[in-house]
Amino acid sequence: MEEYAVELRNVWYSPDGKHHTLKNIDLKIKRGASTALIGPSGSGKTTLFKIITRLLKPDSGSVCIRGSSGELEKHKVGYIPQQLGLVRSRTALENVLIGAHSRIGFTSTLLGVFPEREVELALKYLNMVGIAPKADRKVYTLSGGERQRVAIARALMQEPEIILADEFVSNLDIVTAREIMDMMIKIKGKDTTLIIATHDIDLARDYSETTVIMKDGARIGEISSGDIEQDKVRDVFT
Amino acid sequence: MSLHNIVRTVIFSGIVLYLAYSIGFFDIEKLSSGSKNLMVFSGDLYPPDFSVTETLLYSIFETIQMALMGTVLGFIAAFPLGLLGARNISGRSMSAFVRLVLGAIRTIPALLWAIIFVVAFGLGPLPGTLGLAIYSVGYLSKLYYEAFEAVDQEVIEAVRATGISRLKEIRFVVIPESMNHILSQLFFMFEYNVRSSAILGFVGAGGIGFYMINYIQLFQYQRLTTAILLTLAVVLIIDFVSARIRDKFLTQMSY
Repeated sequence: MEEYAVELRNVWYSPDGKHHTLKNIDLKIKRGASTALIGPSGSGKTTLFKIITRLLKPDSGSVCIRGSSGELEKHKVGYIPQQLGLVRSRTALENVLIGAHSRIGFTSTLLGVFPEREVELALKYLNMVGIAPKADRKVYTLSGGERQRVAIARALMQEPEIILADEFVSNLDIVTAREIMDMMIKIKGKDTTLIIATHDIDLARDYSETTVIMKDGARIGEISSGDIEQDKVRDVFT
Repeated sequence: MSLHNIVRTVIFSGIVLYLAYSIGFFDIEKLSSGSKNLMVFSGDLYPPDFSVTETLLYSIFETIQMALMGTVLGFIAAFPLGLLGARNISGRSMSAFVRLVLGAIRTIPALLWAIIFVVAFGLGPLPGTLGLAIYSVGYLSKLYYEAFEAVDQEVIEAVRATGISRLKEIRFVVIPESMNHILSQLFFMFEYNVRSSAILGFVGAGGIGFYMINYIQLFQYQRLTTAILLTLAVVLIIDFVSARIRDKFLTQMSY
């Protein structure tokens, strides 16, 4: 099995052909590792995630996911964006079931009825993240922390090999944020690669093995998260 | 106020005054004789002649029928056209083409569509309904593609990243996220079509408008008052009912 879950070489990206939001990114992330991308707003973390999920195509460079640079099996990458990207008018369960769509044909779900096996799996993940009792609640009625859990369950429902979490706990109070991160680390499989984007140095230190530092679209360093120190990283944010 | 602002205000006021003058707002003689005529006309409207109520009730039922059918037919066509016109769903070239066609449809008012269909199909509610339907397509599609484009891009991207197909994305994300807009604009269109279908009768396209224009031409103004009051009552009832339906079904989803 391939050693690296994500391997990027000389990746450049510009949304308008003029200003580059990613500049010559080289990145190797080992399978099963927990990695933090740290950097201020606008440093290119979200763009990098969108490149990895193939929502965006790089202008140049190579993107290799799970040892393949070809067409990505998208469901193998679970993506949790900053604002979570949940369908607000639908229930927690319906949102989690979105993660199963790549396995189900269109006609069998046209009326919104899902195979029993998928519903059971969705309920299992909702239970795992601790909100199974609120499975039938519409997402817009849930609290911030509960919505975070729904987004995690949706990502897990894809049965992904890589999970990308983009600043997804940054809107929560620190206690809830840590609760969610603890749970995330606990329930991610041994072989599942977790990449979190954050601007919180403490979260990077406590929930990742390696921290990649980004600024102005460039990768400016990589350190062992245990060695991360406020003083050294602070410069990145100024 | 800066000199720049003063100059701008003077120019703007000048244009408004010129337009008012050219339309005839400063023709005092014309305005005063017109006002007198209005007073006479208002006097002729009173009291309403309720002897025609039964006939008018049938015709207003026909008006509502036309509005309802026109809205439903318009909706059936507008919904897929709205999807095709949304840049975030169908891409730039397809949406540009669809928007061009819809723009052309909107250029022609419902009344003119009704005249075209009266010429083609003869007098009665059918040409009126078709006129309303095609006019609704032009407007509803525009309102719909704007609603579809307003769906949070992050939600679409989050779901696209799961590898979902485009059809499922529409079914499970775009439609649920814009359902409030879809329903509320549908009610708006129906209300609009009820008002609009009253006018369509003027060109022989059925409904209460047919009687209104007849009463005007035959100087039966007291009967006209009854027709206007009935239309007003129906519009108020529909406004009330649709407001209730909106309150019941539409949810405030922001967080």
